[in-house]
Amino acid sequence: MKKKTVALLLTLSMVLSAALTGCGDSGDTGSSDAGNSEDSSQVSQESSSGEDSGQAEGGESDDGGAETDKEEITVTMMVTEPVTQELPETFPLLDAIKEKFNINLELTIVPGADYGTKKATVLGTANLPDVVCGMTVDEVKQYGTSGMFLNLDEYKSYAPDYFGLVDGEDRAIETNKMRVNGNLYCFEKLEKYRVAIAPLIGIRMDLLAEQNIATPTTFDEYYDALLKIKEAHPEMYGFSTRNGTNYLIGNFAYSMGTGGFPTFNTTRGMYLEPATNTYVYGPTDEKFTRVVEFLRKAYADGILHPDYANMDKDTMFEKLSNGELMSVYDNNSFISRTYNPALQQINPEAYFDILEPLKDQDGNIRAYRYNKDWTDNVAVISSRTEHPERIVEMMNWLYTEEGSLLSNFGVEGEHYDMVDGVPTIKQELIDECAGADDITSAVLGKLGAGLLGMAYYVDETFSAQVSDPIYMEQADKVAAWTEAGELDFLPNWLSFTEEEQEKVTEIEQNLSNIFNQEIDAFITGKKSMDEWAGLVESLKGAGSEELENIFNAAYDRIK
Amino acid sequence: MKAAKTKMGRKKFLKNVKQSRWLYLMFALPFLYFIVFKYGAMAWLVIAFEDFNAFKGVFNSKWVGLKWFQAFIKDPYFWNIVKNTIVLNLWNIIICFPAPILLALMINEVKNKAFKKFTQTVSYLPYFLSTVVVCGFITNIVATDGLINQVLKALGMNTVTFLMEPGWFRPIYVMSELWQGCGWGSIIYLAALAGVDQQLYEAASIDGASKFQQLIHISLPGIASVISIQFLLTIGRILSIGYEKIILLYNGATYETADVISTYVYRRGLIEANYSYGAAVSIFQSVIALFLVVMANRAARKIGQTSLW
Repeated sequence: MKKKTVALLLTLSMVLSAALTGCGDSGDTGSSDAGNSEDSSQVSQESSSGEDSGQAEGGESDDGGAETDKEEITVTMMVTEPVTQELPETFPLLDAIKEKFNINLELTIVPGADYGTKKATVLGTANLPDVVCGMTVDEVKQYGTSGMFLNLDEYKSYAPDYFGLVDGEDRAIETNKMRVNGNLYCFEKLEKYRVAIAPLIGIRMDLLAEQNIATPTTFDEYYDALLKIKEAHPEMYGFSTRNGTNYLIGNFAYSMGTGGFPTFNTTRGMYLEPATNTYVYGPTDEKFTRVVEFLRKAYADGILHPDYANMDKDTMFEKLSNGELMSVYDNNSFISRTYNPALQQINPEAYFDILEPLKDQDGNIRAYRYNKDWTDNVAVISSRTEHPERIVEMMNWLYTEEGSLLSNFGVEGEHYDMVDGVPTIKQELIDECAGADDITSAVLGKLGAGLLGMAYYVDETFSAQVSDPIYMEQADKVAAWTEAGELDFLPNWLSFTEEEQEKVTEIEQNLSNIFNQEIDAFITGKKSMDEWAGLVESLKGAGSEELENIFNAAYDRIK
Repeated sequence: MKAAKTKMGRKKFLKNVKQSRWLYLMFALPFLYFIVFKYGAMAWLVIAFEDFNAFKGVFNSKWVGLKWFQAFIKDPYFWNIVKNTIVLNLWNIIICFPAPILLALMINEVKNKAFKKFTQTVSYLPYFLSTVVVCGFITNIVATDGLINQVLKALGMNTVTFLMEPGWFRPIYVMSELWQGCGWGSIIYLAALAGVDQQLYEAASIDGASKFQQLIHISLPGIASVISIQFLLTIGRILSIGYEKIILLYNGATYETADVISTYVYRRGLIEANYSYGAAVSIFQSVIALFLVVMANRAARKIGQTSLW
């Protein structure tokens, strides 16, 4: 009897734990299913009521096509929570969407560090929520041909505001580069007002002053400055990377007269060479050895942080804020809003300031600033969604004046006031975040607003309102350097035919495989530069020249 | 006559089931787990022979035969990855396999109960730490400004960039595995040691056997069958070394020694979203593992110890 009781208890505990595990899992994916099953019943009700046909007309309305007499539906959306800005579970925009569209927007919030893997999983298994945010254009192009995303062109009448913007004269060509086989699948984050921003070298100006070093204008001067500081502060390092080796290479390559792995594109060695107006695979370019030699020397001299390959955003931030790094290659916004305040907590005199793009060995000056708009942060809708029209209509509303204000500033009167026609966040809200390292991200994080939140027609007026004057000065400098032709907007990636895309994916995977296996050995000096030619041959053998041909053929089509 | 026999057999079977119903119930969940998540999942391995497109599904994706297997074998890093997998596992087997046995034998000899329990608890504890946390510890301890390098500096020695040196990857990995799994792994041997007849020790003691002789001639033979089974299971896992810890500890500079089949599958299959390629490499890995288990099982049977089948 006693044995039976024990067995019964054991069995019950196993059943319970299995059930609980099941519950746990459903937290990830089940909610979406639950939402969908709920949705399907609502859709059938909708269809029978014939409201969809009326909605098409509603799509043309001035307020972005909103109607409030719709059936209540649940829409699932996967979003990322960036390291630098929180995303709360509820915020004013969600309430507004519920009120305006009768849509319960159910967010699956994934931490930024895991987002790539999570996205790869949902895309790879075709198990998409209704909306996936934080997609890169590359991903849209890679999966677009599979038919898993909604073709927005077919729902144009539901998104008049969005199409009005992306088909405008200033954006039409870049929008076309985002089309896959002529179809547009994504809602892009567009700029309404943007504080000019670029990834640039930021250097500790206090250390330059301390060592009596003139502000560097060439790469040689920059390196010499770091060496001199190292002599005085041997425990310090010149620079590092927060996103792996390819990101580090991408930082310097274009400015050094070659290219590859631009900005955050750590898998793509291809870049557009303005001198020849053709696409070139950076690592096989002759001038690419400049970058490798530079990093190799920096590693040997203790200028490049010895743990560079293991650093992530958090460790990099720690090294910058505890004064271990002399310079950083990053967005001017991070430099002034995140790194400086953190650094000044331990040394009030210390600060980073951006350098004008440096001259390369040929005496040329060039560097990238980010693309107009944010092409690597787009949203797609699943083609299997039960509510395509209503979701497109909701997304379109984010590009209207009303949607843009709400998604960038919160609720008027509650979170912001209009002062001389300019939305101005209330002081009490700013005071609540007074202790934060980055007040802009802290305030917007509370509201789920702004570029890193749910805004798709992004207005950065608030950044200008609260930012350190040095940030605004930097923004003016970035604008001036752009005018002077020293900063180039990063061009959007090309679109390929289905056949080309398949080949591009295959070749790029092979090239990444080889390059990633070898590059650190050259930087850390484990391989001699005499072996570089062998690597270039391997890359050519893996199809780098064929890749260049495919890119240039696609580019010729839209030139 | 035959019908009556069958009826009798069925009756006996039903009686048996009724008698052991709770055990069958307990067995049902693991059985279902294996059916759904192991055997059921095997059907999806067919994507290794297709150019799998998630949206088109398994049945409509293009059939490409052995394309991905050939691509893997032709990969310039194929031999390096296979070699790394085997070498890292051999290190693991040589160092981490005997360690729990030694620990169990030592704990078994401890007579002070309080100390014995304390030792067991302390040695089990690391097993319950998440891999991410363990790797966080390791990264901090071996960083250029970490504990080990600070000690080296204090001793007037040069600092070492441990996580950037291919030569250091295996020792770091294996030591962390040893620290994390040794205590937990000893449980099964402790249980086996508890089953050894105490009279044997008494008799040996009367015959004048020393503690060490008792350990060699009674304790070890007493748990030899468990060691044998454990060894076979370890061989079965030889190519599927846990990739989480490696992914958290390796980088481009240490691929030379750290990149193993499972991390390669992770990069090509999941990160680069080439699921067919990943599945093909997994099949390759499983076939080799099956071969090794069969060979090890045969060897175990020949030597005379217990075998898996």
